[in-house]
Amino acid sequence: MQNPRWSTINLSEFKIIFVAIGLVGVLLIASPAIASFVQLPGGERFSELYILGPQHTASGYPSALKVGEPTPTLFVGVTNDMGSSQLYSLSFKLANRTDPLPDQTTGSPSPIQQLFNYRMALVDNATKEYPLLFEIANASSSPSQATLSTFKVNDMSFNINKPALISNDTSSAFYYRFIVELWIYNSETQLFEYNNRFVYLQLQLDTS
Amino acid sequence: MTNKKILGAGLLTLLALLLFVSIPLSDGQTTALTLKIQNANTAIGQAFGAVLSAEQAGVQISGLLDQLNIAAGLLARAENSYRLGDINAATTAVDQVFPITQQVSSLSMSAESNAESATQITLWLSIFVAFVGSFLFVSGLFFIWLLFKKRYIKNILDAKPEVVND
Repeated sequence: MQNPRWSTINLSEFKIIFVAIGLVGVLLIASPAIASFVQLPGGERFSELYILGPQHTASGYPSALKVGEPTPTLFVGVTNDMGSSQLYSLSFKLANRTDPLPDQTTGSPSPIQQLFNYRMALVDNATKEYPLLFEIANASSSPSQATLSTFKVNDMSFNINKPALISNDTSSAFYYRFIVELWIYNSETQLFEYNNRFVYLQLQLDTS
Repeated sequence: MTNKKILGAGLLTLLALLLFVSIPLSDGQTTALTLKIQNANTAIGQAFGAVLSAEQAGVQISGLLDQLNIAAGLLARAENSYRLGDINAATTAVDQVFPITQQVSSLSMSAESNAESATQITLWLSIFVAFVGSFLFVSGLFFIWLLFKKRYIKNILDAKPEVVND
């Protein structure tokens, strides 16, 4: 008994089907070898930098710091989505409101001196977090100016003597910015280069 | 009284001498430490370069990066201690960086060399499999095609109406 559908396809059409099956089969069999020579384009490559609050969420950041009272533990993290391993450096800086922040237009870091840095090498798709604990160990203030003398981060104590002036546009408060900049090692230049990514926490010095 | 004066003068001279000797020593120590920190930075960069090459050659580098992270952490500690004026802690930390980076570099290079050989073998094997597999597949398909064609023609011939002579 003949299949009526088969009888409607002639031999040359069957030949095309066989050739197509042959080509697909050859491609499948050769695909491991082809993959060795063909580089497929990867996705978007970038690095993440973030600061999280005590609950590992974007909330609960300390706002007002009293002298001698440490903040709850915050977390600063880096994620590597660059498609290969990267060597990172986190540069930590403390600025007052008149100190310049990193310039995102020119891609230049803040010119103020760093307090300290952390370095880490990360494989692709990996994240590394560090705890951060702040404390203003010593500060003095007058009605128009405050000076942060000793700033502690993770048991490291920095004598900085950084003044902060009253800002007229807001309340009568003294503000500092704790800046974290992301730097990436360039293996061609053999230098760390600023990655044009930074985060900062605005800290109010509570002098009451 | 004279003896006391002489003793006092002697002590002052000794203090001055100690200061005179210790200041250049401290400067020299600081310069040497700065140089060590710079060298450690270079060593970490070079070790990372070696790890990166190994990664590109197909080596699993997570263990090597763990070691490199230890070295990077020590260097950061050295730099931070240096900034805080703790020269001894900085020296201790930076001195520990070099053996680790050397080990990471040499392990990376040997792993890269092994991986390159393995990659070459895998590449030639996959090319061989591609050729032989494709040849066998095409041959098999051609054989099936011949059988199919033969059967198809036979079916058509069988379906041909026969002329019956009266």
